[in-house]
Amino acid sequence: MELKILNKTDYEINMEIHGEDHTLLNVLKSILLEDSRVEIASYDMKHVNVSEPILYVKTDGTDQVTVIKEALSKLISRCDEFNEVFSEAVKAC
Amino acid sequence: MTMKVDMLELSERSARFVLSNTTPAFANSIRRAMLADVPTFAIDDLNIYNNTSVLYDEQLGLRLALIPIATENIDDYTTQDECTCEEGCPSCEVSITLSAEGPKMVYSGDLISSDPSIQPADTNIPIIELKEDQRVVLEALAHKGLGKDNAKWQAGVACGYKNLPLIRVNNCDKCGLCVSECPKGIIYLDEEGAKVSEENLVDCILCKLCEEACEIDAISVKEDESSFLFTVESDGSYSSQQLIINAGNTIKTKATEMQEILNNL
Ligand code: SF4
Ligand code: SF4
Ligand SMILES: [Zn+2]
Repeated sequence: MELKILNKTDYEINMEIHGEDHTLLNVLKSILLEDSRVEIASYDMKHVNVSEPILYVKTDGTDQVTVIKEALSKLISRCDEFNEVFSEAVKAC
Repeated sequence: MTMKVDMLELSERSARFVLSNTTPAFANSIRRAMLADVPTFAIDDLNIYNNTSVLYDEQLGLRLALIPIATENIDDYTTQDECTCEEGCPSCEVSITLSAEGPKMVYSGDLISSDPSIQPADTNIPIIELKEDQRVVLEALAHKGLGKDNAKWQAGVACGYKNLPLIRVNNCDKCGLCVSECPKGIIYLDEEGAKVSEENLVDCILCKLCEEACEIDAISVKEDESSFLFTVESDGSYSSQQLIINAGNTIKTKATEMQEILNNL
């Protein structure tokens, strides 16, 4: 994975994320949208094979990188939660 | 609300479970990860020493590539792109040899791997039928890869989900029309009216024929946007259970990696 910040203002950020696709971006976007400080979160991917997705986030003025980092933490804890409840369900059956 | 998993069926190669209290985006990421982002081994390159069979070399290569290869310690290996070597070394490559002479049917079980922990997942996959005096002698090189690059590295073969239904019945007059209309036969009548029992909910295919059949709109079927009935099948590279756990771990690894990069900005 490689990140390239295309442009950043006080409110907006455009970030190219090399080597990733819908698997990460779609869930990240949906978690960003749960955050009330985020006004717009979206990503654009022209083609799965030949283009790199661009993540666009617009906030109420909160630093976008902080907001994205927090969303990633949420995603990490959800993955942990999923693996935990899944392993428990395996044990129970 | 905390996530919940209800296991319906679990076997070595397949699983069916209900994941609830989560978002469509998370469920879809798990599905995508199982299909495209969990690494496996697959035969990727061949050194052919002798092939007098009816199949030409490339065709033989295609057949070999699609044989699922089971691994227990895939984390000990790297992909060729990430490896420091130029042209294959023990940490990115496993050599598998095949030497057969006709007349015989060559099966995946005839492949001999240099690493005993990396073997074809099934031994009974037919590769080629050799007639009298036909020979195949080759070395196959298996590399680690991802399903998104080529289907030969795909670990999950039939992975999908559907939403569970939310069936509401209001002011039912017990006419029974919906009961006979339901293709799954899961609706029954009791004193209060039409009902679907809890354990039969997973059988509902959300066809809404019951809704259409009801003349007074007493029954309604909606998708439960937070509950997903997953059907997972593994090709044998992993047990179904391991595949699902690995899908969760893969997404976690991606998120962790991105977080680290952002921390170092
Ligand atoms: S939606 Fe279809 S399958 Fe589900 S209860 Fe109604 S008729 Fe039966
Ligand atoms: S068709 Fe409508 S009224 Fe008749 S039993 Fe079903 S839900 Fe009740
Ligand atoms: Zn190497």
